[in-house]
Amino acid sequence: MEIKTLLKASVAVGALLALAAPMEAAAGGKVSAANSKVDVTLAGRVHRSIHYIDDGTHD
Amino acid sequence: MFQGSGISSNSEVWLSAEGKLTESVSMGAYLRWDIPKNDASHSFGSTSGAAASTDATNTLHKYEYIYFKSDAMGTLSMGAIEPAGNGVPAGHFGGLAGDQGAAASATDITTSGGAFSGSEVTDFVGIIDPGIDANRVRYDSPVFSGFALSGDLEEGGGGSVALNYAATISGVEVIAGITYEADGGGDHIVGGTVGAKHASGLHIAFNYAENKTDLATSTDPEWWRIVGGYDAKLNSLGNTNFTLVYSENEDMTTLGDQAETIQVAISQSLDAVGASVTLQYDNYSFSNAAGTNFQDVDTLVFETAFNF
Repeated sequence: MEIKTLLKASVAVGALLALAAPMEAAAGGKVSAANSKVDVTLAGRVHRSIHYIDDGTHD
Repeated sequence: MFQGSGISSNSEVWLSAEGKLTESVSMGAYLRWDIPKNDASHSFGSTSGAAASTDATNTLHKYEYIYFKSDAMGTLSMGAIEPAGNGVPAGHFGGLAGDQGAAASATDITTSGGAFSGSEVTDFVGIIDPGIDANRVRYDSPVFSGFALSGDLEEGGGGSVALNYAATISGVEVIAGITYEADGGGDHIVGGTVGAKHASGLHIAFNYAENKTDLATSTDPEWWRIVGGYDAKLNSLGNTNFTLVYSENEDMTTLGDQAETIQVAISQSLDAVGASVTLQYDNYSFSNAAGTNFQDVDTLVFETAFNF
C-alpha cells in the first residue's frame, strides 16, 4: 500500500473518532476471590500495531 | 504492510491481590503474563527481499512476586520483578507507539545500491533500560518530598539502585531519576532522565544511558534522546499528545556504528474505554566506521491499545 493511501486512511479514522460522541466510562466491577480477606484486581492490555516500512529499496 | 510490536512486544494479563496485615502494613501478590504476539518479527528477508513474518519466542514471560507494604517504611518485594532501575533512563511525557527500532522489527538495512548490508535496524538502534531478567529482592522507600529511593539484589549476583524525583513546582510537573545496574553478568548500565511538563501541556524530557561491559574487547553501547511535545485535551475523547523525538545511538553492536532516529507521533486517548490510538512516523539513518553508504529506513505505524 502506498504511504499516502495509508496516511489518508489513518487521518479518516482519526476524523471519525473525533466526530463521534464519547461513551460514558463504566465503573470497574469487583473481582471475587476465594480468599475473601483480600481485594483482587484483574487487568490487561492488548495492542495492535500496523506497520508500513520502506528500507530504501523494498516497501 | 505488517502487524507487529508497538509500545510492547507482548500483550499482557495480570492479577493482583492485597489485604491488610495490620493497620499500617499491607501484604499482596502480583502475577503477570506477557504473551508474545503472533508474527511479531518481520522483515524483507536478508537475501531475497521477500516480506516475511515470524513468531516471537513462543514462551510466556511471567512476573510473580509477593510484597509487604508500609506507608512509613516502604515496600519490600521478592520474586520475578523489574530491577529498581527499570524505566529510569526512559522517562518522558510523550505518547509513542514504540521506542526506537520497535516499528522496524527485524528489517535489514540496505546499502546505496540496494543490497542487504547484513545488519538489521535493531543492530544500530534501541533504548538502554534495565529490564526484568532474574528473580530479585527489591526495596522501594516511601516518597519524601518527591524523592524515592529503590534498590534490589539479583539472584546469582548483581543488583541496581535508583533515585527518582517527581513533583509539581509552580504548575510545572518535574521528573528526574538516576540509576546504576550491575546485572551480574558483566554489564553495568548507568542512566538517567530529567523532564518537565508545563500546565499548558508543553513537555520535554532528556534520556541518557550507557551500558559498560567488563570485557575490554566488547563495545559499550550508548544512547540518548530528547522527547518533546504538547499534551492537552483538545476534544471530548481525551487528551491528544503530539510528540517529537530525536535520538542517537553509538556502538550498539559494533564499535563505530552510529544511528540517528527521528520520531513524530500523534496519540489520542479514548478515555471512555481506557484505550488509545497513535499514528507515528520514524526515520532511521545509519553510519559505521568503514563509511558504508547505508540507506535510511522509514516506518509508519498505526497503533490501537486497549486496556481492561
